[in-house]
Amino acid sequence: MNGLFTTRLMGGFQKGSAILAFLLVWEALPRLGFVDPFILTPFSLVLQALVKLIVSGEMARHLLSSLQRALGGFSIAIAVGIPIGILMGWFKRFENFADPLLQVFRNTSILALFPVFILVFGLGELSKIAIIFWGTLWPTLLNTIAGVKGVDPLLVKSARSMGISQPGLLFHVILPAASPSILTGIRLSAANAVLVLVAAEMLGANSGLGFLIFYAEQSYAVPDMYAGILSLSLIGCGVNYLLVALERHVTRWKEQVKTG
Amino acid sequence: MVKTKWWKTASAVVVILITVLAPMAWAEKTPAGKGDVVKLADTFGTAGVYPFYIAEDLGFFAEEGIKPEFVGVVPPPQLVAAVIAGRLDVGGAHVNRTIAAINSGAKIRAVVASTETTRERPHMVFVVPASSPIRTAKDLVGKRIAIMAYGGCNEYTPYEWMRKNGIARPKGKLKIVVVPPGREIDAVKHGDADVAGTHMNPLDIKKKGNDLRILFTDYEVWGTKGGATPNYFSEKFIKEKPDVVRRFVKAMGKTHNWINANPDKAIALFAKRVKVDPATVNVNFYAPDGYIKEDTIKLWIDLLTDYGEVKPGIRPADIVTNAFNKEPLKINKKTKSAKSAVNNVTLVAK
Repeated sequence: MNGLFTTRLMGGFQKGSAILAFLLVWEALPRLGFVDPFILTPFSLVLQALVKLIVSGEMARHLLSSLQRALGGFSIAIAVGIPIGILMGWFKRFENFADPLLQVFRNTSILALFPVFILVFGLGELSKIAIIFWGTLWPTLLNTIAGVKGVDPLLVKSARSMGISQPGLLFHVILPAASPSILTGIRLSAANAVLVLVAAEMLGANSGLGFLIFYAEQSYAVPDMYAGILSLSLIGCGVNYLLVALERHVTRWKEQVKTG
Repeated sequence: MVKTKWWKTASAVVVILITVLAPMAWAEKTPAGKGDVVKLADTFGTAGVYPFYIAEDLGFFAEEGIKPEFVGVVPPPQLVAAVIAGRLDVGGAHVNRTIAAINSGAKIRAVVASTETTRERPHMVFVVPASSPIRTAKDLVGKRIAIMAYGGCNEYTPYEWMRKNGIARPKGKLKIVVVPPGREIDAVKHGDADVAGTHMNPLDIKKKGNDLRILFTDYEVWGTKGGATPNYFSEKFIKEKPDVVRRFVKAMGKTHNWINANPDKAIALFAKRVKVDPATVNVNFYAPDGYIKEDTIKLWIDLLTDYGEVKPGIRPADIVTNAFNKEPLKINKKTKSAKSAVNNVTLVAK
């Protein structure tokens, strides 16, 4: 039992040491004068600014705003991406029809499409949700297609030979088999949502984490800017962690193959 | 088998390193030629004449032994950071941004004046659709205003216009819609805002169509005092190369006087360099000789302190200095002076 505890402790220490080293460098560079403190605020002061933002309730306000937008765009993307992905994965003809256009859309950088979104949707909430929708659609869609296409034909044949109905085939064979891929797509989409959110909030916003970062930059409130960036990273990590846990829970019927 | 893999990996790494590091090496190469290098940003947009280009094209920099090196376009919010990091030597935006930066600890100092508001060429013009019911400051309360950034002239010009026209505490009484620079009027036309805060010339706004009406300009709020955009160096640069700063200031003083005397030629020269139609280019009025007038700085210090944006106690001497401009230049008789008297040339000693 002692051995297990020490092993776990060492593992935790290993995991934390890279981050610790990074934070030490962040603190040292401005304090020792290698970088002007105006440009890079020492980590301790960033933490201070973050705490002040949390205590004043500002952080909660911006967080809520951002989460609302991200969730809005993200859920529409999932609601659209999974069904279309299944259709495209299952019906070869549909895929041939839709794929070339989708490839063009998917490979166009969303920042390049910014002006288009502003022209079409204006500067309100709708355009922000539209931008997030666009940015989060593709991982889910493409992973769903891949997941459905990758279902073992043997499973499908066996199920059919046992006389399964079409809906039954979909819900009891295809979806479970494709779920690891679909869930990975959802996880990537969620990560994208946080990234695209910042870009979407650069314009026409008056709340949100992206807005906080750019507003702080414009007001030369550099510690606040870094506090915003830090919270964005933490949110991204948190979302990812939750989704990994979800993924593990949903696919727990699968046999785990140990790696390394 | 391991040996073959080894050199494949090694050559791949070398190729990647070269691809990554070579551009950095090229970027840092100092241009050939004599003179002290001063790193400048390229013009952000082609709607207005850029004095640094004029100074280079007319040889005013060369006369003073200055070699300008243009490092690319830098968006205005990044100018201060770029100067502090040494990527740029000279920055310059509206002086209220400079004051805010210095208040936050940026070690920069403005040494030469740039634009100056006149009735014909104000710094900011606020427009509404011609059919809009907005006519007075009271009509503005609660309306949406499209501006390119929070703070600075964008936010405070309308606030001060409202305050001077009877609205007691204007901050918070406008809905601010941030748009990309230059797209303020588009936002109003699209219906996203009711008022547009532009940095355009009234003449250019007339060109944009008869469906726009000018509500007010910063000239109506502060006369000639509100549009100062002095250029600054980092304190480090000033300490290490004061002579370069002095010569730079002299070159810019000459340039500004020339532009004031020859606005159409300035437009033509700039339009030719950036390859745009001269009809789309506008030119500002510049403070004669590049002298920084103390009241143009004090105005913004007082305003920002009033609104709680900066700590009280900042003095103009903390922001600007005319110490590098001590040699007065002869003002060209043909210089178009501003309609209102701009005769007080206050020397602010450091």
